Amino acid sequence: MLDVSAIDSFYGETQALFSVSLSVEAGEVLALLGANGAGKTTVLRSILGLTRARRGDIRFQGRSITASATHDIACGGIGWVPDDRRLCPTLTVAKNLSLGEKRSAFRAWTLGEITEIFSPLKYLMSREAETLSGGEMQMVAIGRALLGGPGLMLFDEPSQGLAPKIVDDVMTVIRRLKAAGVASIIVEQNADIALSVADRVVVLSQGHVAWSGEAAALNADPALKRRLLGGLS
Amino acid sequence: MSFINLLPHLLNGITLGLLFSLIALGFMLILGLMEQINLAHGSLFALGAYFAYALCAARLPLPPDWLAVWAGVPLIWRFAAAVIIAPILVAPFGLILERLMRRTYGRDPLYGLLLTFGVAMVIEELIRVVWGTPDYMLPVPQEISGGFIMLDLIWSTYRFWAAGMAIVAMAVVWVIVERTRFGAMVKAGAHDSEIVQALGIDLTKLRVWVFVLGTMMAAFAGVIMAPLWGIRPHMGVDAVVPAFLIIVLGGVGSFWGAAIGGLLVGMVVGLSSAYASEWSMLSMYLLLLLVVTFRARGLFGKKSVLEV
Repeated sequence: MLDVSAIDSFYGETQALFSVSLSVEAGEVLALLGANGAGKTTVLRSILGLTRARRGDIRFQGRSITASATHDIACGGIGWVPDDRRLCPTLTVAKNLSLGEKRSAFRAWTLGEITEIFSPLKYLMSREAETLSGGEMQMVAIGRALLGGPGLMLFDEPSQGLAPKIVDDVMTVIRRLKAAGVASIIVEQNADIALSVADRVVVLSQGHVAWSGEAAALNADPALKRRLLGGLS
Repeated sequence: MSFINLLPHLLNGITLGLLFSLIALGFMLILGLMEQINLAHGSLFALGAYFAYALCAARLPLPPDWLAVWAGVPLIWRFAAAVIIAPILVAPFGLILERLMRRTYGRDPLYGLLLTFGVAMVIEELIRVVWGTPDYMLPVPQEISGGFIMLDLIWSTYRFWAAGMAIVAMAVVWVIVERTRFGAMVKAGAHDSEIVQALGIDLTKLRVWVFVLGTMMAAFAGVIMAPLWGIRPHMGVDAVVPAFLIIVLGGVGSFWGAAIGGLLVGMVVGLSSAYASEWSMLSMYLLLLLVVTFRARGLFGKKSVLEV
């Protein structure tokens, strides 16, 4: 579904990614792990065309999107849940959600399906986003992406700063997406949370791919896990 | 001078304020989404006034017999046509300006400032080339001009019409900004241009539409203002300065900030001209100093591109 092959990305003159390759299939969950500054968020930004890959190729559904406009990439069916949620603070929850609605080749979730998992949203619709707690903002950010009909979801630090109950709800969403054949990439600092849902893992270190393989292999080999992830798990 | 005697001046101020607000709102929408200050915004206002003059005075580049037919149409209909058609005729100028400004998006606001300052000069000179330097008065149809006596005071009929039309235009803009998905896209885009694109919204197209909306609001204000201010090549600059001032006063990013800021400026100018007309233009700057001294973000402001 998504093939990233040997991309180099830069912030200005500073190279952040060095020949990074990864792929994710429909219904698969890929965990993207690594220390702070390893380039995890940059991979997501490169897929979305927000930080351009200067070399290499990114293909989604067989079509190259390396040079496509960000809104075209999004309309192709890629949903993004940024780590800082990025809601519009002066708009209501309902308006923030509606901004995510778009035409896409994939099935869009209905508001009912979203509030079934994130039940507090039902009572927050007319509240302005700036008055929400971190967990409530995360629910809106995820709901907004689901309303857009994603075929691939990019989660950036979905568990960061959230109460355990909300982390469970987020994992429920990821499992449902998986069951529906939607692919997910999860960037996480908390490796154990990511490994609990992931099929495959890519570990980044200083902009390079340090390891990639089955999540089960990493879980089964504590020594390897310690070497790759150190204090992260 | 008793309070009652001030009422007509207050009405003048409110009318002026509402029209200023309309210019300021368009200016603010463009500032929000493009993150560039459009100093040529007043020139779009001026073009609105000149096009209205061309339509109402039947001075159009048309074959003489067509023109004779148009001149035979009652003035009230020509005026009504000008209110609607002049903003549409100015819209392409907004489109060209937006196209020119594209290279400045995401850059230092100084680039946009220089570019639009240049465009404002060009439009002012173009006006001089096409219409010459003299002042014109927009002929106002008899039905909505003249005056009447109320409370032993003489009131100008057109000022009520002008205030009414400005209120209708403001209400339309309010509905667009506060009640539609387009408005939500504009607000979200002004706050965070990356996320709206990542949600699948075409920012380039959105910017074009916002520019067209802002242009038409300025041109509409130009039509309505023309009978009150007179029409002269420099009127664009005369309008963009108060608009900028209103945005600073009311705070960037707030509909009600621009509306109330505009009314405050209008009333201060209107009332001060009743007592000391030579102070009327200075009075709005004094008002700005007063507000900004105590509230640097303006009355309703949130953090914006104007604060770096």
